[in-house]
Amino acid sequence: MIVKAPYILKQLIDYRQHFTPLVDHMEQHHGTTEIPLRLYRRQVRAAADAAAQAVSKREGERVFQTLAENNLEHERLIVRKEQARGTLMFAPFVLEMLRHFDVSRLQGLSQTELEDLRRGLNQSLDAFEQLPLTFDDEDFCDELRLLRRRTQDTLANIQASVATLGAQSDRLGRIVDYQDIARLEDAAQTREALRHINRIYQRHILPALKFLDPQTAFKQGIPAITAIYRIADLMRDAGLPELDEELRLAANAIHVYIKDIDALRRSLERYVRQNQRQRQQYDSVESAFNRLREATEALHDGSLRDKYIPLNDPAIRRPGTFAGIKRLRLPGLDWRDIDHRADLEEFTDRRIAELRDARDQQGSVTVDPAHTGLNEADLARQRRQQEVQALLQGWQLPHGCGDLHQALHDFLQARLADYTLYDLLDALDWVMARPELGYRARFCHHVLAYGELELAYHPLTPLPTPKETPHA
Amino acid sequence: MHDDYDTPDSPQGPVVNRRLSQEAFRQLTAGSVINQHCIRDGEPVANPLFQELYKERDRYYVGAYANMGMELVQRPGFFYVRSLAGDDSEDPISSAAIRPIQGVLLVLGRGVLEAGYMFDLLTTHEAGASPALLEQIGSNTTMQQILAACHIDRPLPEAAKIALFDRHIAYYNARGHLVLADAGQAFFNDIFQEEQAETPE
Repeated sequence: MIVKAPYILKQLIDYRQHFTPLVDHMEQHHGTTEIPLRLYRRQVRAAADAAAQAVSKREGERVFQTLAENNLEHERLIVRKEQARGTLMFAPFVLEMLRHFDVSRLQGLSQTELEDLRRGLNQSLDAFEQLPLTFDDEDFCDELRLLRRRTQDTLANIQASVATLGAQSDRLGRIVDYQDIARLEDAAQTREALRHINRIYQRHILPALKFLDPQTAFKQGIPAITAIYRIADLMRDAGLPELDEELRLAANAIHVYIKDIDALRRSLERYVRQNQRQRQQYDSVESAFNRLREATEALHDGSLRDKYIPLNDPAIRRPGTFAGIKRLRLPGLDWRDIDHRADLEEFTDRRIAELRDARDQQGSVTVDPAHTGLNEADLARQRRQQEVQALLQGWQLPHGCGDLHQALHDFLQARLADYTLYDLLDALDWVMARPELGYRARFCHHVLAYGELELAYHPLTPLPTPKETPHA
Repeated sequence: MHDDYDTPDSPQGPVVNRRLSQEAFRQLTAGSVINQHCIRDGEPVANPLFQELYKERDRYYVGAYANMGMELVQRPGFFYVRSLAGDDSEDPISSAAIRPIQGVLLVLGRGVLEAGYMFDLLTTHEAGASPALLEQIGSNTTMQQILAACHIDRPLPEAAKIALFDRHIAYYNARGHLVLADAGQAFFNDIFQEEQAETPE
């Protein structure tokens, strides 16, 4: 039983999601129009199974029979079938229809395809410049028919290309934006997506912008839009205002897509830069690592024992981010040209000389006791602070500590002679200044009484920090 | 109140927080860097030690450290100190600290890329190099030879802890993954810029 074309096409449309792999196959094989028979049959079976599951077994069988190759061949939906090679070729409009359903799987117009469209419009311009521009001339009519097809093709192709590139950009952009950097599979997918975006940008977006820009200079011919406008000018001069208007509207309709392409360019630029940055990062790390490896290999003569890369080797000297970093041993601190003994002697000599002068002039010298006392108190407080600080160098936060005040109080009370709560406040300041430790105050009051003093406070609980390493 | 003091002879003199200043001094002279950000509650926050040094860098700290024979060096995102006398020949081991630091950083950077990850793995706080990945990178013979030539005789995870974590060049995030701190990132940024400058247009 032969099924008619409309019904076949209806089935292809109803189960179109099962036929997009055919478009994929064509795109993956550089635009081949030959579809493997095996692939087509597999997709028909998939469509039939889907119909059987969704509707009924009978419907599944009906789909399977409708989409049989002999039906499509009879209705000229398949233009060629090569049993020996196991391939078939669909009528162009069927492929276009399938493409239309899933633009995201297509490639945009390539530079070669755009150049072909431009060349065609330039050929039309050349022809109209040489022909008598009247409907009485048959060559003119033929050329006009060809021009209309060319403008229509250009518009339709640009429109499909914009939709395709937009859909692809969205899909690839989502892969990049929602990646989990810590997952190896995501990293591979992202790298591939960025490579693909870069390819779209270089091979489709930039050529399309060049194609649509009337200012672009070409080695041969003029931009496509300009060619259509020139032909419109010829029509106007020849007294054919309808054609003039028709062509100008067609040129405008094509030109309008420059905005969409430019918007795509802007949205993809971020990913293109990211791709470039990643390539550059890879090259830079590779290059620095190779310097280090070469320096290692230069040392190598069967054993690396006690052989280290010299510090002046470029592999170590570059890039100099940490040049000179080291532990500075404080006991060996170099005071350079400062001689403290000489300073002290100079000061005391001068001060004694001043006091002698004062005594000689006034007969007696009064030393300000309050001032002296203040210095001594200050000095004592500083000494005390240093004592507390020194003690805290060896202090570790007790495990499961729930009250920092109490923990420090216990620690200091046991180790510090003449301990008071002032020492506790001092110690708290030191501990709180350590940035790697964080604390959270609890909403309650505790009171610490010691000696004559009493301290009311909110207890501080240390926060868990990732300071402890998993290898410790 | 007694933490801060103004230089008495100048109303616009430096205002130095003594405790932050002393903590910064302790860390810097211990061979650590002070990053612009530190980790608190598992999240990166502004580092008070960096802010303190940055705030009074020119008016106080550069001179103060110079008086002690040290140079306070500021790089993008971190501070460290080095001796004003240059390489100390009396202490060749500590002056060679740069060798294991760079060795581990480069082995780590290359290892992560070679394993198929993006470089951002090392700089993203939520990601980081897992202990298993460090083990995997460190098991490579070439990497082991390079580490040995950089005076590192330990497995990579341990070497990373000593050369990077202990010096605050890297930290462990809440998942226990190693992430580059500001200083570690600055090292790679310098490498990227150096390479870019060398690449002909």
